[in-house]
Amino acid sequence: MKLKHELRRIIIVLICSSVMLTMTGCFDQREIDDLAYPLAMGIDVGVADNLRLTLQLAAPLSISDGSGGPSGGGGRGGGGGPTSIITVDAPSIYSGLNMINNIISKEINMSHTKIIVFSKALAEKGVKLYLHALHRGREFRPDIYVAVSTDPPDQYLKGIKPTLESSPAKYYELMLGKDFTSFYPTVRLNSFYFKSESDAVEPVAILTGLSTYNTVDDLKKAGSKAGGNEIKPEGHYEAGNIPVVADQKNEFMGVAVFKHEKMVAMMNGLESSCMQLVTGEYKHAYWTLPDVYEKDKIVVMNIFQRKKPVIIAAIKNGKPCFKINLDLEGDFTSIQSDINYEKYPDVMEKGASEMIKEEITAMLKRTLYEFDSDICGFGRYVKSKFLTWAEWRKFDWENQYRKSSFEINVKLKMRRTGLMIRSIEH
Amino acid sequence: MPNRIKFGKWEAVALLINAISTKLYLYYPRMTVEDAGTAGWILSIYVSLVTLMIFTVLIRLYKRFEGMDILEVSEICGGKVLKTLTGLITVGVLFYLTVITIREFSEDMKVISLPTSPLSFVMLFFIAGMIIGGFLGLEAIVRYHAILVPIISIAYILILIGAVKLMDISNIYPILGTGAYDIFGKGFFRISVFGDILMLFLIVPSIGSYKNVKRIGYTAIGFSSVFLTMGSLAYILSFPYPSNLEPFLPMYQMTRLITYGRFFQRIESVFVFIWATAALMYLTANFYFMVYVLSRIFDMKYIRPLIMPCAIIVFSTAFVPQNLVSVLNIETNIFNKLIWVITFGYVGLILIFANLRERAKRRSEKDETEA
Repeated sequence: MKLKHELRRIIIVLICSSVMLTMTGCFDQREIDDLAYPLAMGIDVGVADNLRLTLQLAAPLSISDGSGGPSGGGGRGGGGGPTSIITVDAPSIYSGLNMINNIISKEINMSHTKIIVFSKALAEKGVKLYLHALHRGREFRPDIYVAVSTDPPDQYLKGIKPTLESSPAKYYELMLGKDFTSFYPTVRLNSFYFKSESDAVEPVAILTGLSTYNTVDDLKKAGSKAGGNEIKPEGHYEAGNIPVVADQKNEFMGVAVFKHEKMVAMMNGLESSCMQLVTGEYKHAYWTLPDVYEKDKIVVMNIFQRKKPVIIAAIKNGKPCFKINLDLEGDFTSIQSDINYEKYPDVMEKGASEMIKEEITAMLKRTLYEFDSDICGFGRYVKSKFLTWAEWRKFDWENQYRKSSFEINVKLKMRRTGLMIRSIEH
Repeated sequence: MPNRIKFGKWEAVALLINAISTKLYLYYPRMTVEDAGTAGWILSIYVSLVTLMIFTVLIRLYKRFEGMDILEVSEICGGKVLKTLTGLITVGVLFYLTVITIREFSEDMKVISLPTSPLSFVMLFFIAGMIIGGFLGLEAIVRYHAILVPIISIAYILILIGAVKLMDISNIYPILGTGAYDIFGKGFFRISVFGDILMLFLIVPSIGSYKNVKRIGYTAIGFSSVFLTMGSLAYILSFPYPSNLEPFLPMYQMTRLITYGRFFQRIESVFVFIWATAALMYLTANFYFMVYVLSRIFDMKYIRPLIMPCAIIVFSTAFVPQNLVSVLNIETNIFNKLIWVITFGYVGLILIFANLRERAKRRSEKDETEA
């Protein structure tokens, strides 16, 4: 009996040991070092084939030894940089990956991809054909950022040379996930996909491009006709034409507007802020506002969205009407005139509210009459007026949106004045 | 029940909660959306209420048969023949459930984590768990449930809390989804979702008094209803209709969307763990009951000789469905629409006839005494 018990114990130990030893490297065992991780993927209209696929591959060893600094640069096609660029013309995304696997030694794994960059040309042609593949793929994360580049993605990805981070992956995460600028929205693959499938909201993408200016002398081209005297607020630019000279050539600014799966227009940074104010995705940003009394001077405010916007939808005489209530608050960060707005903020509050209202109205008018695309998702509010899906479909929101009217109320309250409590008039 | 093993109320509740709620991880949220669109969560509440009502009727009918399982009640009702028939039907249901679920879980696991592993290799782990569970017996199975179901439930609730950020209230509109008929008419058949309550009628001898059975039934259905409805609602709020008809593993895909800053990402790895645990426990329990009922049909003293042959049959049959889509179709369009006929209809009929028989028997006994 004792012997039987001992034998049983030995058998169990043998089974456990053999399982532990043999199951460690099962069919799906893959060494991290055997895989190549693209950090960015560019999709463009191909020449040799349907599609031009560009991958920005991470070179982990260069990233870890810090050679990705300003001199290291990215996109040098290998040879010590933190990234390597590879471009292929292929019939589809996966066939492109298949072809790239014939060129590089490591297996491509998309699970660390941070951004997908569509070229403007492809976005205008339609991205639906590729969206399904991205959404279906197990390795593509739903939180990948989606951008449209004004430059061809192969050129664009070569221009990405993060100067402050050794890891390009961190660069994308910090750059595109930040709260302190509203000049471009945060757009991730899942929301882009859902919106492209939805009949209550249209998708948008981050607008990006390479800077057109290489030296400060080139900035003359960007100036206003009146030279340096005329004030052009910082939000009035789109990616690619921001008057900036930097080591880093790529820039993000504005919104690529889609109708279903096709890009129909671009909006600038200010319009992007307005859009986010309406959708409630806005966090805070500096706003340059003209001084109410001294028109040649400006007041800069850091404006926060205190509460999510309250949007009330109604259908009057068969036409959709929306009442948009925005609750904002702001801090003075710069008052160029010596007017004591700190003591009497009402004037500036009213002026800023009016300006924001005008900008939002202008943006919404563009969405109605120029794009005919409900990028702010007003359809989501109208849907609640219907009991069943069939009734909602019958209403045909897509063709009703352009009949919409808006009533915008902006409530802006000044809260803080920075480290100065008053402006002394000289 | 072998040697009439006794276990507590919580163990039984945990067993039933896991059996009913495992669907959450597989297809349930998507199924509610397929049925009722944006009103899937209303369908879920409706189905839960109908199930509670039907269960109330069933449990009242059970009052006279304290301590007896459904096979014993069948014997009272129609002798050995009905007992065998009930046993065969129960085995059929459990076999079907085990086969479909093991195939589905293995396919899902292959898609998510083990794409290059052969299906048989993935399935082997579940089969091994089922066999071990079978050998260890019911007591071990229910004790595992008692420990792990609370952990799985907490993890599930944490996932739902994590997904709050993704939720958009406008996704539940239009409030009646695809229409009232789809919810309250066609939706009735979805009481099949609670078909696993059948297990309760098999563990009665281990639970004890009628009061316990009643309490366990209500608690399990109550908890499961809350979990199922929460899952359906969270899914509908997170994924807009009709895009939410597409994901093949709704909860998994919802978990993939959860990110908090740059640190809390890829939460689905936790999900895979709790999902695999729940699956393994569910399959083990199902398989055990299948073998146990089989042994009862043949009046066998031990169930162990049946474990290996049954495991091989389950393993082989699991390869019969052609692909994942056909497995999902069988599960949602056949099992989850029709199984109520057995769980509630057939069991109800047996209980009604058993009650009539019992009443007639008592009356004749009374008449004999008076005579």
